[in-house]
Amino acid sequence: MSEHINYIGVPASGCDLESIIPCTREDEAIAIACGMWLCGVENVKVFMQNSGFGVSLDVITSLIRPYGIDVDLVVVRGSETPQHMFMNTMYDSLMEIVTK
Amino acid sequence: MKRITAIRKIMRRTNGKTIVVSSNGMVSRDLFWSCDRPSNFYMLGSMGCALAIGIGIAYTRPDLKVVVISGDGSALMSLNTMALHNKLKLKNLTHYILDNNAHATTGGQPTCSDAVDFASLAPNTKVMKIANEKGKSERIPLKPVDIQRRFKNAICNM
Repeated sequence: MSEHINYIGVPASGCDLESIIPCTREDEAIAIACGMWLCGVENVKVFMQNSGFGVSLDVITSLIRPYGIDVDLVVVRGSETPQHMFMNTMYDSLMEIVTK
Repeated sequence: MKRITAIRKIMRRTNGKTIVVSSNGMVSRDLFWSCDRPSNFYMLGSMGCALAIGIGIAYTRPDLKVVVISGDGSALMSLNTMALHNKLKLKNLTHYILDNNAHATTGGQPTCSDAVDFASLAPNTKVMKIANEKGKSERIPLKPVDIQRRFKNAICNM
């Protein structure tokens, strides 16, 4: 039986997940999920567009990784528009680096 | 008032059943050296995220009192999260802001905290004016992963 998953995050186009808390930024959503995980909650996932992944690099590299916190991220690709092209191109490599 | 005096005043209002999340820099260092407990979470990086961690804990554990201690630089980086704190109105969460109008950890450079009335932004937000001290406290001699394991073990047994 699969466990019910609570999602927390910032809305992204093309993603119909709803946040249990109306977060203002993606790094804030991750930090809230980290607080929940520290309480022993395992069924929370954080969602965002990949632009929000860029916003979240600090909290991923200075909180999640060094503290050994286990929070899943659901990252949605940005639209194929000029303002998202750089992140769409570099996202896979960035994710590989930060999860290494 | 010195920072460590303000921290001692805050901690006198807490007990072993209070969760404390401290922001990066001198705030965490002075908390560690004055009142270290397993139920303290020292957030060493991630400037601006201590309040969000506190919200995650207070939301999940309404039976526990949660205290977040921020410097004014960190509070300015979490004005968005203070809006969320005002929205959620978690009764078990208190946010103390130690305000010296400066980034003390990096050398006392000025902040714009004097342009903001933090206490008006969210409930249970208490501002304590502190001095812009020149001296620096020693770093916390714990690894982040050990802070996490010790903290998680403490809170999961409360």
